[in-house]
Amino acid sequence: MEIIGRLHPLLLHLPIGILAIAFLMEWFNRRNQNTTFSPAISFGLKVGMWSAIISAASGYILSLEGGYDENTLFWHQWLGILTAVFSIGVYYLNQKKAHNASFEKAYFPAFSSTIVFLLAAGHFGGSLTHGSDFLIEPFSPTEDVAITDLNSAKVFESFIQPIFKKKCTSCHNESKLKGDLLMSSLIGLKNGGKTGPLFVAGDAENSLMMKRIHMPIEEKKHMPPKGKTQLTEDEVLLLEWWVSEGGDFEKTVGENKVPENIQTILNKYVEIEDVGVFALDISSASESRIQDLREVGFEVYPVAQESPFLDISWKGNTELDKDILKKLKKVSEQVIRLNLSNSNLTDDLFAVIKDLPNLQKLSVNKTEITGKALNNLSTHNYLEVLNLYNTKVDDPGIESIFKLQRLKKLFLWQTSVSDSMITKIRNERPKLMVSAGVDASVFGDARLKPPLIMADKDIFRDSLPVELNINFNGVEVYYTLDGSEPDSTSTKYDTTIYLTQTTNLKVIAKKEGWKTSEVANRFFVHAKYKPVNIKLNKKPSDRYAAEGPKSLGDFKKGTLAFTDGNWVGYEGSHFTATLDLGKKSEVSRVTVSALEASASWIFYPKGIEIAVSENGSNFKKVSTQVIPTADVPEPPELSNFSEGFDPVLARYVQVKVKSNLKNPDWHPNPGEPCWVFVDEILVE
Amino acid sequence: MEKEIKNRQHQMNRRAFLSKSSVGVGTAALSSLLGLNFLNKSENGIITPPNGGIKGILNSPHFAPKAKRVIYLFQSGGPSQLELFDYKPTLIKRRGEELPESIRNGQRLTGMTSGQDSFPLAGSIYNFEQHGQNGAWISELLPYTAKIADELCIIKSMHTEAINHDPAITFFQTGSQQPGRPSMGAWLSYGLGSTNENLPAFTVLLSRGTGRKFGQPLYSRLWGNGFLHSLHQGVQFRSGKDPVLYLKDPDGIDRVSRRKMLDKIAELNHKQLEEFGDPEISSRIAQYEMAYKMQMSVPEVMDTAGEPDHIYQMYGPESTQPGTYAANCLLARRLAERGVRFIQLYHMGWDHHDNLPNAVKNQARDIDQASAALVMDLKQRGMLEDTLVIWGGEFGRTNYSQGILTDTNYGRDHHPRCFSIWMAGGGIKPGVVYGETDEFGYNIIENPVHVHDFQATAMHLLGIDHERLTYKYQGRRFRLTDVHGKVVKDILA
Repeated sequence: MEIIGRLHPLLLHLPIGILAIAFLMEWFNRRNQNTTFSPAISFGLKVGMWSAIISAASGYILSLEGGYDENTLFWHQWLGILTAVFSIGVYYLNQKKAHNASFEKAYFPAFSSTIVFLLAAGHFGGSLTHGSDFLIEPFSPTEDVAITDLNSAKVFESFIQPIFKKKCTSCHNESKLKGDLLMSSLIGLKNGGKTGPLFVAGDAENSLMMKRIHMPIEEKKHMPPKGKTQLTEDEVLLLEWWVSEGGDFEKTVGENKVPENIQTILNKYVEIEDVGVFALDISSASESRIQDLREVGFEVYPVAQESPFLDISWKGNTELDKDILKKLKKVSEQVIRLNLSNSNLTDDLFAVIKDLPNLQKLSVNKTEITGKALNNLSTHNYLEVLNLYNTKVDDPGIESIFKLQRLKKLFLWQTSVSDSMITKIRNERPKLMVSAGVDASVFGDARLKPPLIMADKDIFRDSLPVELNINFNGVEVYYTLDGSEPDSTSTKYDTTIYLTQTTNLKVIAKKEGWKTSEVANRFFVHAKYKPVNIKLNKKPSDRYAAEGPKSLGDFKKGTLAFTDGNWVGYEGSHFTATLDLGKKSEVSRVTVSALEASASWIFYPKGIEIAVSENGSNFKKVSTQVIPTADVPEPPELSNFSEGFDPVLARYVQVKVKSNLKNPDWHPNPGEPCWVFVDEILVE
Repeated sequence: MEKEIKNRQHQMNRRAFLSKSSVGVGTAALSSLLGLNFLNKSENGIITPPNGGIKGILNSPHFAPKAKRVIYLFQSGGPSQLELFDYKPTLIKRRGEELPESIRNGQRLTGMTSGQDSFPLAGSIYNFEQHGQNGAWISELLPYTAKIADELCIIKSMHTEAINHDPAITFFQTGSQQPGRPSMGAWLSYGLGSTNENLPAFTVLLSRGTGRKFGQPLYSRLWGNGFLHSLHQGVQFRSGKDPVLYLKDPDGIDRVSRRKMLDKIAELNHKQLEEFGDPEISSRIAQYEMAYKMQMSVPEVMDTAGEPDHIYQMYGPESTQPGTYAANCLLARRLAERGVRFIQLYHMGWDHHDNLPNAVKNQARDIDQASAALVMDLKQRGMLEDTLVIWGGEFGRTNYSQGILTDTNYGRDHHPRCFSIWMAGGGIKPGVVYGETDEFGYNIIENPVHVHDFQATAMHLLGIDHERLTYKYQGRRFRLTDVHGKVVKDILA
């Protein structure tokens, strides 16, 4: 039986050829509208039909042997069978079409379809045997072959030709051909150019190429010419070595004498080209084994399309156990990236790693393993990345990593490995990156944020509860009520503060290991008296008049939006407000609440003068306050300008608010009239 | 009547069968020719394994990936490169002089400065110093970022085609200025699927900056699925009680009855699926299952109470306040640990047309410590290896002042010709500054990186050939990089 199957590659060419020629003849007939080839077509179809059936059958037998890409095989098989079935149909139509008009109609489309199926089946068949990229391979750019083993690397192909390609062939190629020298082909190199042969085999000193290279760069004949990318020292040495070893195009490194200095240069190539585990030539794991792993809770996928290597992660839906891990051994060659982190992995279970020799990256962070587990890591020559963060790995255990020659990155944060051990590893393996957590100096100066001062209002008549809020455990909050800067000797906050007088509350947050926060403050005004009447010496701007003069004493604060209807605004002028408290009262403090929004031409007052009177006509000045003008733009903000003075008895309080009148010089519109905005004047 | 309906259904089936079988053989042959492999996928690119996760259209990446996931710290509004990464002494020296026309060279301006008579050069008022082994210039506004300079690849030569926010962000996210294409995260979800069957493959976190509190809003289509299946759209996680909207069971419904309901619906859906074979139905089933699982997984990932103090110290005190950028960075790490493929943060408020010195200072403070902490936290866990972190906005800002230039104040308009971003981890060469702008900080003079190049590079690091991850829609194959994009090989490790 098997023999018939193995005949498939031979038999399959028969239907292709025969059916194709029959089709061509049919086409010819139709083009010339005659029946010259009709008998031949009929015969061809008959033979084609039988050969198609036999090919399909033999193909099926061959497929039973297995070993083919399932997906491609599926298409090849069914297209092949379809071709056979259609060829029977077409032969039948061919025989009967003379007697039946609809048969006649269907005949040619059916024939064409057969050919299409035939070609498609053929293509997939080709893909099966030659690989799916066979067809387009010539169009894919070829890349330089990676050097995996220095001794078997060909000197010319691996080291010399790349130099020519990089530095010479931009001028010495088929289309440019400077000095009649062609360096992009072997023949060209052997023939040399106008001035003679390129090199004398075995004699670097007398070789033209080397002479040109060694000329001083100012010389016209120096190569590569001035202005072009020059050869590096290493490249010159390599060329020299190649010429003196005979300028051979086939020899490998092992077949040449390699002086020490050349060896060092060659080693560099290998280091750069080291592809680690990817140099291994292994076959893919079967679909069923992969499926098996997925079923027990692993995530499995090839590291790349068409790659046999697998990237496997434990999803952690259930507990790991020996039976589950044993399944990894079925893909012991293929698995190169394994992630068992965040699981119940123990030293005992870790033993499975011993049987997975090709691991390139192993993540066992956040597991229960200790240093002992690492004894299983010794034969893992390809291991490049090892993540042990948050495990109980210790100093004796970590010594195992010195056996891992390719190890490039090691993660040891939150393990029991000591600092001195980490220093030792760093000293012995300078190229190995050891991560042991972030250096404290990077984020050590992190500063706390001050707590939020939470209160319903800024102005109160009797008393006001204030809370300090910080959304962070273990933070201590300190505050002062007298305007002094708080520190850890100040009052510690633990419960609501009740304010009974005008207060500048200042708070800080402190916590071990953090920089203390900046000071946050908020000004609370105790408005003891509500004026019965307020008079303004002139009308405010129509647009910013709030609800008349009384707005200044209604305890309704304005917001940063100066159009909110609580603000009384004056453009380019001072103003004076006179408050009538209704009866003689003891007055000791006046607070003016104002807005600054320089982008909107609004500035704080330049000064505030306060005078009091018992009768409303004779005023006595009790306080003068000068407020500096802002010298840089700031985002809009509110401020209270509060002045205390010796208590006096008074019924009337006169507040002169001085405006800056004009925008300051730094302002985008200097000299234009500016505004002054006040929402409350409060008397205590 | 019933007969007609049946007939129609059969017709539909026949038509569907014919179109599928005729296209089928062709695509099969073609895909094999092109080296693609999507024969055993359903048509809309979703395979819904019984466990409900999202499986990508590519069974495995095109080539071995350097990064398995992305954390994209998007800085919305256009951060000023001249205040952060692109140090220009000439601008400082020639402060106040007019921008030479030979430099501007006809660049179009936005409506916000096109009427300006004068374009005074505005050197930054902030100091720069060199940091890290490669001596990268970084502004004093970013002290923590400066400390991790050796981990970063700073690209100073990004450029884009758009000049206003929405088209520019849309361009960055979807590869097209016009809305309607899938976002980067959606493409990845479509291509590679999810590695955590309990969480979506693409999650989104938003925060508002203190630099400009009421900046441009963001639209959810920026993290939309475009023409891809809705399973691939970004899911926004919010701070507060309801991290994902409409996810919680209503009061009085417990998980048992929810389970029963879903089982019953799934049964009905399966019947429907058997009859019609519409793949939309199977994806609907999967979405219900995912939502059910997220009811458990989302609260778990959002609860950062168990994070130790030293982690809060790294990310800064704001990380304890839900909804801040710092808190989102911490969440991003937690999502990454749980295998979420694409984690997109947006930090708003970088649009500083006026009052720039102050605003950019606040804004920089918002992001500096937490961004650096995220990189270092990933590093100490061994996750920076395979996580690509990206920081950057949609365009840069002009070298001249919008509005009056004074000693202490100026503004900057949008500038698409050059701006700076950084990337770290996941196969990016660390400690590199790539690209260079002219002495005026206006044009690129070395190694320009277009938005499509950036996208191609990110895809490359994830193991995807950006030219081969496509989706056919309206008769054309679409891809993230449209018909452009070159992988920037120089910045690959």
